[in-house]
Amino acid sequence: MSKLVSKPPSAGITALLSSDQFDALLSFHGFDLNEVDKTAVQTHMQIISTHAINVMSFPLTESCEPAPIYRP
Amino acid sequence: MTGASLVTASCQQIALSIACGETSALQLTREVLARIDSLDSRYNSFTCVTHERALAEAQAIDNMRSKGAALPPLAGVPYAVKNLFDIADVVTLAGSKINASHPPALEDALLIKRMGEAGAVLVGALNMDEYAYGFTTENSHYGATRNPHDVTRSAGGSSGGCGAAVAAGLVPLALGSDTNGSVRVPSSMCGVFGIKPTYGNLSLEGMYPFVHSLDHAGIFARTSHDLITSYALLAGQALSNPAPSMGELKIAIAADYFEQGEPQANVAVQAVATALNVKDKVILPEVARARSAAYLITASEGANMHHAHLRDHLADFDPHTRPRLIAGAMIPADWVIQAQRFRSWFYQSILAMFNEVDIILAPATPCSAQLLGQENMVINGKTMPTRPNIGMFTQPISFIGLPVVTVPIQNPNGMPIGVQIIAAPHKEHLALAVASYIEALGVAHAPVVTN
Repeated sequence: MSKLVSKPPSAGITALLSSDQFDALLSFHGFDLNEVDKTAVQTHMQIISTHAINVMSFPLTESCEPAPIYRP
Repeated sequence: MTGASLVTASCQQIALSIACGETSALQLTREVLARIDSLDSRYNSFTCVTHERALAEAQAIDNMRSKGAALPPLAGVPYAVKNLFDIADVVTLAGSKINASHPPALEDALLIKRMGEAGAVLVGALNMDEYAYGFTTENSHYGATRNPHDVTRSAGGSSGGCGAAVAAGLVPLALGSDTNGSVRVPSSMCGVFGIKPTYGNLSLEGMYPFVHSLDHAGIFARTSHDLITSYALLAGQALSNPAPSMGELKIAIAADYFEQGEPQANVAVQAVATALNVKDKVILPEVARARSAAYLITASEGANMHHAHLRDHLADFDPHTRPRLIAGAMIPADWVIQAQRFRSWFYQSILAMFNEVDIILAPATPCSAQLLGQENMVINGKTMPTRPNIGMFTQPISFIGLPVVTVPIQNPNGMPIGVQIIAAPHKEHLALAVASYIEALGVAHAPVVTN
């Protein structure tokens, strides 16, 4: 079975974006730029990026399916 | 046992005293309500006390007894629930300001119905992090819950009100929820017993969701016996074998990743291991990655749950929750799908390990309770943000829905800390048996604390 190795996302995702680009990203998702604490959001995006690197760099086999959401 | 001592007794002792007629359910309930009214301003564990309902339920128990009817197993036992459980005629806050404008719930959550069938008396709803997204119960809308062991410290979260109310002897039992550690973290920090069963083994019907694919219901108590009794009642099934011999069990300590906590966390695990005569260690594969995957799924699913309100009522969110949800809303689907695929891999890998061991021991938290308002903590020499990292030892376990009982290890000179007793799926009875054994040896215990 071959393995698929995903290219990890870039660390410091928010560092890749200019202020205008970050505003555009927030607007694209429907958020009011006047109400968003951009620094706090960037802090959490940075934490998420670190976790994403961990997950995306794991070599999963093609047959590995997403975990089912199961109920009793 | 009567009077003040019964107010802070275990479920087992209370039910026995009421069944024997040593006290009435009504008298006990009045004393419990008075204790909550008197003491909870110290802890801020309750957001609602259901006086009238509690007195009515207690009266119904006394009526049954006076008619000579057989009493159910938890007859007259007071308990409370995290405020994300639907309580008929009460608004289900889920720790939020936004939900405060919702109409009251039309009926009780299924687990509250089961507690009622067992004769237990509901006395109120308990504080939590907004929408269960947090590990400290520092809620900007309803105030922080304070730890009964030291009121300058966090009770843990997100079910912090549950941990504090049980530790302070306001109730002997509380129902909470655990998505990434929200039963196990406050159990650890408040020094009480807690169970997060196998994913799906306790119904979530009538509970406000956080992350559908990770949410579990759970229980807090001051004795393992009370956990065993209440879990069996709530799960609707007798435990198949609640008391295996310890000699029959293969138990090992989780090494490597789980040894990164502060010395107190490792000392607590070693105390349990020594009592069980356990020396073997196991290394769970890719635990850090499992935590990362749980983090992505939580952030994404949690944000999706609240996306409409994030757009329309952003200012009404708790400042602690708001930026986490916005960041989560912008996670690419590719990352979340990969996290779910990794989840399958991790689940199969850990299942295979349970061919070799029955029970795995691990710390519940990397440290004991932090000071309220403490933004950063130092773990193993590394400074890291407190709120996202308190669950570093619980997240990888709930990620694949394993059953866990947290046992409290008290510290005469400081704060308690918990140890996770982890079993294979649907093997709750093994984890509960180990917890009971550890408690019988006096290694784990949960005294009532009032500071």
